Amino acid sequence: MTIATTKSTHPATQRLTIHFRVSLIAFALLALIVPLISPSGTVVMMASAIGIASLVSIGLVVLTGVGGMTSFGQAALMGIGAYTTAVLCLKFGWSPWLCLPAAILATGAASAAIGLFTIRLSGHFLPLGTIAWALSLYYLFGASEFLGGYGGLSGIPAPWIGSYSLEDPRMFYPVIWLIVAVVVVLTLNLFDSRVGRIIRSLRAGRTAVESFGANTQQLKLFVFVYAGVLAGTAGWLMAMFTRSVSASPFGLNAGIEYLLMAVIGGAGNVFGAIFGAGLVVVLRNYLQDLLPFLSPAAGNATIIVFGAILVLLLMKMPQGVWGAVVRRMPFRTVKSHPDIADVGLERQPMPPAGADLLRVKGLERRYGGLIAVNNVDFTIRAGAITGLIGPNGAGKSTTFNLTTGHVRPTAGKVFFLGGDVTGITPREVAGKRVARSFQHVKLVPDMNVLDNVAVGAHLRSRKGVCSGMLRLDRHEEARIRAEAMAALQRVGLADKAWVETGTLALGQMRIVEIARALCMDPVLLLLDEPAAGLRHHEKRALLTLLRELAAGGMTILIVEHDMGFVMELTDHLVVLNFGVRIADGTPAEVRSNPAVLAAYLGGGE
Amino acid sequence: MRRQEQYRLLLGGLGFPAVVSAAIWFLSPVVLPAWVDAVLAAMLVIPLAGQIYRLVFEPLGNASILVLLIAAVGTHLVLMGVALLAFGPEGARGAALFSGRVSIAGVAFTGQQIGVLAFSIVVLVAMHVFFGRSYLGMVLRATAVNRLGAKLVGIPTEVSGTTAFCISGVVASVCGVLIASMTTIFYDTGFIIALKGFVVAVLGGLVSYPLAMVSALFLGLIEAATSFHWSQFKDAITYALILPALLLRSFTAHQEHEE
Repeated sequence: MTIATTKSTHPATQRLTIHFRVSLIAFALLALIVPLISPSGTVVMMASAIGIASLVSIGLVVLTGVGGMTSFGQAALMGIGAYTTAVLCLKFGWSPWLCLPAAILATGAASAAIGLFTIRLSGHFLPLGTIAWALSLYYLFGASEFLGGYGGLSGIPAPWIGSYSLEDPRMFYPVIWLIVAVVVVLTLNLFDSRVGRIIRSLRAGRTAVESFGANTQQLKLFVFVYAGVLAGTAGWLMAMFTRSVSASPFGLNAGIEYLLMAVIGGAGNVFGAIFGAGLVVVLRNYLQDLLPFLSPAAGNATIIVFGAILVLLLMKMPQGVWGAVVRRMPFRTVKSHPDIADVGLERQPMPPAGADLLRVKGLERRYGGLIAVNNVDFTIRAGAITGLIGPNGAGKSTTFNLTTGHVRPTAGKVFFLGGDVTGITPREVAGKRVARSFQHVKLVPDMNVLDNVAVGAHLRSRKGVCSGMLRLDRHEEARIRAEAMAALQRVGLADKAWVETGTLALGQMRIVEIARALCMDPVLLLLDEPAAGLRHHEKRALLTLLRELAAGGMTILIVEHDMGFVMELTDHLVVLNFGVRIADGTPAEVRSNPAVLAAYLGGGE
Repeated sequence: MRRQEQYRLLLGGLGFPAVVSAAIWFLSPVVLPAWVDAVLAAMLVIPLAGQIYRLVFEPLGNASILVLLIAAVGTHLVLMGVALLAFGPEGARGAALFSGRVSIAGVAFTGQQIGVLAFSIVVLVAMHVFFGRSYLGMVLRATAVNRLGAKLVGIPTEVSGTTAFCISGVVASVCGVLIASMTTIFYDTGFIIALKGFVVAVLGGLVSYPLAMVSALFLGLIEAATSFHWSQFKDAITYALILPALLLRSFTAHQEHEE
């Protein structure tokens, strides 16, 4: 196992060393004991409020910082959890403990329903949409007779253990932080799992991960529900802690405050979320004490301070405060690398060499009056290296995207191993073991190279969310990493495995994309300009690699501008110009074809 | 140097409003004609929009839309807090700008209502002409589609921010002046109205001004109907209308863009 001391890459997946773990546990014990023995009740109240807010803020880290969806509505979802608890306790006489799963189910169902609408929105429509439904829920809480109107519901019984009541805030306080601890562990595990890799890729766009078989819509919905459930759990805690529920803590201002906590922490960091929650709760407490001294009307002025902090943070410290705090700590978090298994994932057989792998018949794609691809036919045989060439704007990339499902043809058919695959989605194409690289590199810059490559193995592994959160996926994960490492070794970038991907040169990123594609164990490998940006000796290495892959039974279709490279590499060439196929044959035949010469060098027709 | 410029802007930005505020302070015991009040209010509010842009959004520069949106929410909090400090939690109502009543086809309109309708139509036509015909309008549109691309072909993208904020400042302050006499105004009324505006814009599909106006009338009808039958759920229903509108949009909208 390689042990290197690189700087931590994605904060969410920091693995902690023994020293750090010990100090963390000591800190946790201290945090548990101090409020219990402190003479002032305020400390317990504040520490409890921080714990409850942390849950909502951790949900926002998953949703916003990692998943890329900003929500102002988490307070409203928290309200659903709190009101569910209050109603079940007071009107149906349920036990407070039984209300926890009920609150989780209710918020889960509500956020699934709301999420179905919300996650389809893009850009700024998504957060604006959350503002609207958050206000709607808030007014619903306040207006409902059944929910006690704006006065709310009070007299919720305190939870108990055996015959021991947790009525005293000092007694309930450990319950809050126990739940926070469990959530932190589950969330960190989730980020560091098969599903977590895809979730962390969501911000970089959906095209790439969909091409490796991940269902991004489903995952976005999952992330939304996860954040909602955390808010719902916080709602239950709040109902249990204050023993009464009213609409005011679930309004839009509260929703904005939770987002402020996540922004202070630096979106994407679970511990930062707790830090942000602490800072906001403490600050609010002191501002409420302090401001009325400054001016009698300033009681509500906390809102001005919070707004100004939010704006200033975005301007001066867009990465959040937590990162800066950690850098000034006396100890460093050193990343230890996870285990890599000795064997990778199982491989599937390749189709017999020479079989009809991909057949394209009369393929056409129109964009309004423009015909990008016009009546193109070609056949790719298994085990061959086929080149797709042509001048700029010839329709190469469109043809490429038509065969991978990223663009739907307006006419014509695509057959894969004899079956009609015309117009299927990129995910279905991935299911047929067709892997691709992209002309414009699509990797997650703040994830390490190994994790980016491991995305390619998504369809060859199956552990889900639950096994990921409960760490039941370690065996499979180690094998996925072995597979990714093997792919990196093949392309000659194994020494970069733990490096943050964004720091690589563009040419190296293209090679990482090939490694990711290899991780899929593909039958057909589609490469879009892989040699662009490579130096001479890197091109030689790529040439050798692609030949080895073809010798191993893999079929390759390549779009490339470097003619020397293409002529030397391929067995078969298809030449396009203005969307029309003008030649089809061996490199030698194509080289002497007058139509090709005219297309490339100009000249009379 | 850049910083000095910021300070200068801040001072210039504070000087003019300070004079206007002082004028308002000293004139407040005097009962002035409604239009003088309106002009004073506009003189205070319109430059504010430009100042906000320079102070908050210009320094954020090339930040993502989400960051800008969160910054906008932060600014909103500050403004609302200041409004609460300045005006207190009690509501206020202004005098009508236009008096008199007109009856059209048996329906009675107040002068103010006619003024609102007329202003809506003026804004509608002005926006249409501005974005469709004028150079500045096209600069704004080009910048909205692709800032970098617009810059590369020589479009002065830096003017678009100031222009957009000034236009929104003018429209918003006239809206405020007009509505002041029609309903009781609280420190946060503007936000509630603006958010309804967003619901309306989504209902109208975010594509055309006339369609947005039609959906505004539709929202008004729904609001009137719900306040008659289930008055306590009026606001809940109004904002919940965003959900079916979003659903509709998600089926019709094309795939999200990337990069």
